[in-house]
Amino acid sequence: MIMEKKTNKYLITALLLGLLFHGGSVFFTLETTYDALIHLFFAEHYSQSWFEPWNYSWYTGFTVMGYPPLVHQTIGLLSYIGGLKFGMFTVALIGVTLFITGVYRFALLITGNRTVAGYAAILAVFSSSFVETLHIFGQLPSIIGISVLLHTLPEIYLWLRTGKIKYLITSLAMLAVTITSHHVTPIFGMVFFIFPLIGMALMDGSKEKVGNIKAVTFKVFLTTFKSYFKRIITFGLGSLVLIIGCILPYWINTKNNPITQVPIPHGSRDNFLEVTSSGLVFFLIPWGILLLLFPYLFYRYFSKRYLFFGISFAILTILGTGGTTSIPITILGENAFNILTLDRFTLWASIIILPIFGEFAYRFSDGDIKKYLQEKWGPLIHRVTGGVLVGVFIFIALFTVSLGKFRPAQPQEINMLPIVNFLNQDDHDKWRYLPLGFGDQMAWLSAQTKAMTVDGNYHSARRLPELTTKAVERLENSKFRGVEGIGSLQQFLTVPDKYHLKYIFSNDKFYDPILYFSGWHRLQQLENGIMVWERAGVTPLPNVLPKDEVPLFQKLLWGIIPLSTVIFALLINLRSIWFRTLKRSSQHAYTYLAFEQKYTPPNKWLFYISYLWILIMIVVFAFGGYTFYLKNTAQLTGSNVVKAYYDALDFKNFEKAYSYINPESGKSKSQYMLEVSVSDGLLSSYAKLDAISTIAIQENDSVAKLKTFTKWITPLKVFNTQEIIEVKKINNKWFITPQNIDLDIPPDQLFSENTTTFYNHGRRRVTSGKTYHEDVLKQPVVEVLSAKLVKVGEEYSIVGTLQNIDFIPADIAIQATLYSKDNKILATYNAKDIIKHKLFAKESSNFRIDFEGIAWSNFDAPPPPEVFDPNEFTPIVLNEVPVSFNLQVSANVATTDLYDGLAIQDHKINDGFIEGSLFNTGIQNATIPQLLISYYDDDKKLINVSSNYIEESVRPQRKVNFKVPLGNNDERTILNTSLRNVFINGLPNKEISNKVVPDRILDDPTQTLIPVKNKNYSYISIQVNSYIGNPN
Amino acid sequence: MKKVFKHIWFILPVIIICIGFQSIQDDYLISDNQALTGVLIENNTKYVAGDTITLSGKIENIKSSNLTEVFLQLSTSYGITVLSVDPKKEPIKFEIPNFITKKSGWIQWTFFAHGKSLDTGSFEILPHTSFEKIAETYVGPPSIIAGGRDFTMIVATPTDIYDNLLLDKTPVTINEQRDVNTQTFPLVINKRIAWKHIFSPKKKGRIFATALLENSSSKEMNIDVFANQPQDFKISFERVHPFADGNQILTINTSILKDAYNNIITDGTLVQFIGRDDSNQIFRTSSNTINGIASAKLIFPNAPTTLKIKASIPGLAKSQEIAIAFKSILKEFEIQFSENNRTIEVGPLKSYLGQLIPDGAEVTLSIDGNIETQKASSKDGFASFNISEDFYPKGDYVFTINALGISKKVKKAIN
Repeated sequence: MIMEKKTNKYLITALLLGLLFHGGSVFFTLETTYDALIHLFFAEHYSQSWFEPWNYSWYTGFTVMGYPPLVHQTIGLLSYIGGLKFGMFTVALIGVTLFITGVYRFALLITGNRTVAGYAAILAVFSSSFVETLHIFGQLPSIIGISVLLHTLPEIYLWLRTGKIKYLITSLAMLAVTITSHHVTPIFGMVFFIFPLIGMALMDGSKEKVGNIKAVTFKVFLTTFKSYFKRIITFGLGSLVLIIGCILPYWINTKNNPITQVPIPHGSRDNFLEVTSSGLVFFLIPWGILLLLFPYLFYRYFSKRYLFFGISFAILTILGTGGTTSIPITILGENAFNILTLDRFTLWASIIILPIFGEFAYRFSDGDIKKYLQEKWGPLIHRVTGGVLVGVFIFIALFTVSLGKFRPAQPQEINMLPIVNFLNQDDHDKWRYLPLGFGDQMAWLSAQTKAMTVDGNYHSARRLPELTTKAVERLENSKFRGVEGIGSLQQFLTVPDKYHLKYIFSNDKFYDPILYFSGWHRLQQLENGIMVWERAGVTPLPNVLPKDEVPLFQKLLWGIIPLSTVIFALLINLRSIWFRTLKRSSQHAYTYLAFEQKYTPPNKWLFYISYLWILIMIVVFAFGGYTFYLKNTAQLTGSNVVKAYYDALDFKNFEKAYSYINPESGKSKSQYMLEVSVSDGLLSSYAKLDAISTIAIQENDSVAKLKTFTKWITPLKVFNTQEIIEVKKINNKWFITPQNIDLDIPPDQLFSENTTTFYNHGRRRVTSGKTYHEDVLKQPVVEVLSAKLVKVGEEYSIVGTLQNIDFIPADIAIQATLYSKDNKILATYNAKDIIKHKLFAKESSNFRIDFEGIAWSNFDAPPPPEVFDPNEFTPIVLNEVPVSFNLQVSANVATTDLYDGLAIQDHKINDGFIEGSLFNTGIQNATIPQLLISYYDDDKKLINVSSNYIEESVRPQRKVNFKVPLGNNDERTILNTSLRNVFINGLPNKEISNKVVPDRILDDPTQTLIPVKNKNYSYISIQVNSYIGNPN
Repeated sequence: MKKVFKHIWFILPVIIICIGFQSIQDDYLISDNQALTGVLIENNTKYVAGDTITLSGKIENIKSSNLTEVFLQLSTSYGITVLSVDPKKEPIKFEIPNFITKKSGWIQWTFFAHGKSLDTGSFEILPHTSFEKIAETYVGPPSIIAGGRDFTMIVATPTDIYDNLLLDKTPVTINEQRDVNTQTFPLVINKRIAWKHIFSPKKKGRIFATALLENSSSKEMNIDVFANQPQDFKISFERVHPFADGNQILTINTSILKDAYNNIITDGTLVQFIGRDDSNQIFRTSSNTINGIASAKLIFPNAPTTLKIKASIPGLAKSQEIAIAFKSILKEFEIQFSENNRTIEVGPLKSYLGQLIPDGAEVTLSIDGNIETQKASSKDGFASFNISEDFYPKGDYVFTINALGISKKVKKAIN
């Protein structure tokens, strides 16, 4: 057959459409995708140090040999021309071009029909799975990998059929490019693309032998296989060598640093029927219109020639359904199932089917099916159907591109410049930092600064057991990972010195309370609204940091091979382009073009099955939509309106919340907004609604009383509340009857308060040199009055009292170490939130230090709980019994977060609870009050301290009642009370005590304890601390 | 990689030549080494930093034309340095480079020829005397407590123009300013530094100090003297009226807190207050001092009672106890039942002048000794309760209503 000399106009159309559509939108989408900025970060690494694989920026250093480098290196190289983002967008556009042409060549290979292939190329432009992978996931290497693989397939076919060495070389050359851009693609591509391709080549070979596809029997197939065996093996061995050789350092690294990361939940592994959002993103969107055509697609791919593609397509489709059925986990095995993200299977399935989809489109719009349908239905219905299908197809593509706009998966774009400047100033980059609430933009920050963070965004590269043992994507968004997230974060916040972590950039005020109560304080708000938190007394990073050295040959391989594969492949293909353009006469037909099919209308049963299938789909969608409507229409039932109301409150959408308030209640909108604006506190400002359920306790057609249970997650604790809410039906809509507000009127309209505030100059001279000796403040003197090692059950803690005996305020950090009887160190931990970290002069605080292990590091232990619980605590497993302890108290001058305005009024013990009220005497709004309750034994010796947070804020001159259960009824044994190993800023406690307070008054009246009847403790005392969210 | 290759053309011949010469010299040494003797003449054993120092040497038993390798090894505080000369030139003279001669301290030398040590010796370089300055002065800790027990230390390190520490016994003066008095302390350098303990005075304030050396002086140094630990103190209270209205604010002031030397204690010192009422309920409040006075606040109790309040700075100082009595504002109130007796309205609640009490006064209701009490805030003098059917079925109940310390019991049937 002689090849057409014309350029394929469909392909040209597809390319133009593709560049217009993707090129126009990619600038608005790519930066907010999940992965693109991670690749950008890697690219930045290569642009700075091409041959050095060690990167200090993330975790505590990691190797970039954990990800094939081609795409990163290309971006890095292009960044020299127009910056990193230029490189990223260029690579994305190259990806689009490669993908469209790749699909064209693949479709031509499969169908042998240039028009069909052109249709397939146009469809590829708007393929929703491709759109999603590029514009929502931003998986550039994956896209480049699959596109190049598609280009490789025809070459492999030609090698198998013709046995010409040049095809072997071209196919292997291009496979090498795939390998160096994405490691998973060629491995699974081998199974799902190349094996069926070999099958098809064998089928074609057999057909040529016997002349008719129907005559191809298994025997014929087997003989063809034998004759092709050598070529298959040659190609197989060649590709194996390439897969191992091209990214050899990757395999060596994988072997040396096996991924110890526990599985991180991924939406593609969910049950799509249960988690409908995952179903939308990982099933409905990528399949899109293809779902309606399943009968045709399967029918065509299960025809004899395509049988192997049919099998591959079926397996990919099933694997892509994630956790909906148990089949994928059985096929892949638990390990692979938990490491792989299964969305890629759906992507491949939707790509592998594109030729058939193109074929359908051609036949439907211009071929035999058109004729058949127009005869049967008439042209109008056919055209309308076609219009609807195209409309839906395009709509899904547009919807997918703009999904990131409607349902942002990322926080608003953050201007990184102020942060970068901050890190550059005054040696701030000598410490590690941690971004909170940055989303994937943290990678963009890391790419711009040389400062290091303990967090990171490529979890396979992690090394800290604090991170690898938890299913946490990033510390930065730990609130979305519930208990494990906050648990991980708390460890870093409590022991920042271990990681030299001094600065936190908070873009989400959700984390503020836990930062404050673990001893951090606000430093300044940057111009971009990011709050900088600082921890005093953290030592800077050492000048020399540890790194894993790799042999030179690996560095050279890693730096040289990837781009060489591209250059080699380009040279070879340039040669073929040369031949194609200039030596047209000598051009020969590709063998696969001989397999072009004449299309005749398929079996009518296929039509009937298709109609039925479409009907079923419509019913399923309609039913799904209806259920969704019932569940989510706010005012349809009483319980819906309550849920909608809380939902609106949770998202701070107060206008919407007000629309659910009974209009007959007489509460005006401005009154409602005013009431909302004065409510503050842990529950209304720092909580995320986790669960809500209602029970009707009284119900009729028009009014109901609903007992509403809500579960709120805050960074400090979980709040379970219950309330009785009255709802009323007016005009077929349910409304909420508003609740009464606090009527109390403070006595003074205007009042004044004198306070002492502090300011520390830091360096008095503007110099980047060493701080002058006289600018260094004396560390405040603190005395530990008592400290005891206490055993409760199998756990140990240290409780005690300390007092700031200096005349300046102190910021306290305590590190405790447990020793065995042979003076072996058993555990070290810092005081978390059971202490007042900021102390006025002469103020004292009780404290408790618990020894926390790295959560779930013990794999035999029960798996982590699914539900969120910030109080979750993993006690450390000690091999020996601790007998003594050491306390290192470090005190630094505190100048902020000192507030003594909260008074505890009329409190008393009542039936296992302590009741009373907090009265705010000062001028700051005490956003989150904390009660530190201390428990004493018969001899008035401190045995335990607990922390309780009050959910409501206390405004100036107002009162908030509290009722806190007295807990911890476990028996506690005091093991050691020696203060011999207590040190303050490195000096022995005893000497300080003798020098500064030689004659301490022992019978202090304010240390009055409240007697309690309990078998494990006899007295309690109470102390108050408060977080001021918005200091005046 | 490229660079290495480029340099290899330079390095290679050098290496080859070196190897060649090495072998030649070895032959020579074996034959003649034993017989070599020599001396180095020191003019002086003490020099002053900055002097030119030249040592000249002599080697015997060999013709100067045969000499190839003569050098002087110097062991200085910078480390070991080797000086070489052209051996053919007579006499052999070593000039000590000035980076060494500027540094005070001992220098040991060894004179070598052909790998053999011929002579050793040492000399001392003394600091330069005519040009002096005070390089560094430190005072630490920068703040101390009044009373004479606490002290800080001032350290001066005078140096010459080359930054050499001066010799012991060099006189240094430390001037000190306390209040209006200036004091001068003559000191001498001891072990290369001059130092002095400064004990705190009885009065708080700031001490200024400086170190002087002939005509050079240090920068100004400050030592802050803070008040010592506070002594016991007195408390008193202020209030606008004596009625327990649960609304006004009670202020408790301390007397001026002072230490044993009559210094007012530092601002920002926390004073704790604790109170008990008649029913043993506890009140805690705190305040930090300004000019020695801490004034803590509490809201008035909402029932007549006597508050007994004490204050302390834990472990350091305490106050006497004061008693503050609060009178009832309410003599009587009424209760109305409606809606099958399920709504209870309490009021009007009238205060001491006959006025309606301010909104927000707490009224509690307990039913039949049920532990759970319901609370309501008053509005315009009234407070109301709803008795829910869910919890209280039809029947007779005893309602106890408590408002601002007045309690009333009513028995009613609800439907």
